[in-house]
Amino acid sequence: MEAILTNIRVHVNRQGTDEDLAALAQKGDLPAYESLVGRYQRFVFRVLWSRTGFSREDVEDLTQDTFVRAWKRLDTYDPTRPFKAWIAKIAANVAIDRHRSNLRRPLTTEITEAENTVPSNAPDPASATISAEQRRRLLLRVKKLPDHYREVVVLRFIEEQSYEEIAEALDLPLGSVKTRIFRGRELLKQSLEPALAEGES
Amino acid sequence: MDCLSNEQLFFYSEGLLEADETRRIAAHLQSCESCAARYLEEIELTVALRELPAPLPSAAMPGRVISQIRAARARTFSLWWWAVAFGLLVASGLRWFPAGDLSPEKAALSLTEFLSDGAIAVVQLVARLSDLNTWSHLGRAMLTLAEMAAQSPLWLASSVTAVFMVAVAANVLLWSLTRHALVHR
Repeated sequence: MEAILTNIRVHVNRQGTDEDLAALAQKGDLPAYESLVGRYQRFVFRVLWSRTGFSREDVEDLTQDTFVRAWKRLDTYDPTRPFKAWIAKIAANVAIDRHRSNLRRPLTTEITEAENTVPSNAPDPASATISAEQRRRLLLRVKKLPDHYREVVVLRFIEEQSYEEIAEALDLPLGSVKTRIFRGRELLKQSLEPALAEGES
Repeated sequence: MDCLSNEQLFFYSEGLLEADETRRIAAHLQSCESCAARYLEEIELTVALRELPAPLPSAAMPGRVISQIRAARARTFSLWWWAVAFGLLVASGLRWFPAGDLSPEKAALSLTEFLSDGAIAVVQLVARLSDLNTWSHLGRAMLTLAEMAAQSPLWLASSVTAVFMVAVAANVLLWSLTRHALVHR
């Protein structure tokens, strides 16, 4: 009976928790899985974006790989645990495999046309705190951060994840997450100060 | 109180400190202009990072994932049929060219084993036809079928094979009906 109610909740109302959807998907329900992909595509995309070479096409492919791989391994998911942490671990493994397979391209240090025109969560220029030029510089600095600082900084400030969520997703102790975020920001500040001064003069 | 470290300022701005330390830092920021200015810089950096133009995945992503899964599933499904055909071929081959001697007890044992394995395989088929885990059960069922066929009288082997094929056909039909209902709701 409970299962039938869950089914109705998910399919008729397009509601239901992530864990409900995942439990249905485990039984082979593709539409339920499609809803889950819709909910988590942005998160997975950002996790991969923060860990790999920032090329939009690559990250898009890796995001797709992550969800296909997750589907094949759904039987390893425990529906009493948060789906987000589980999918983040799969994304992390996809990123590692990609790294191993040596397909990783060097970081793009220029912001390409494509990146400027793709949908993003950037605010409109009128309400922004810093100028477009400063933002461009800051993004470059973030891209050049060492991997282990960049991924936590992106997840914390761009993806706005909590410290606990980041720790769980990256399988790191909470203390390491705090330290890495702090050190990453210090690096950003050091590298940003001359640039900002330059921009102001 | 001494001026605040960068670490204190940042963790304070993120609300990560204990109540006591939070109160002390708040009091210090009231009275120290240079720390207050550095605190403002921390906040500004956080806001600037939040406003970075990070890309988003394209809206077609869920659809693409689902088509890739469907394609993989279709491939597995056709592979599966090849396995069934091959298994039956091997089974009938072994029946017509029996090897080694056989005893009625061994045949009965194999038959029981086959039936229970077959039941497991059928249940698995209904539940997860597209999943590769099916292979292990299928493989076991096929092996037992082959052993049994080699050791049993012709009428038994033929009828069991027929029952097996009917069961497979019925489950495939059931599977495609339920999948159709799920996918095209």
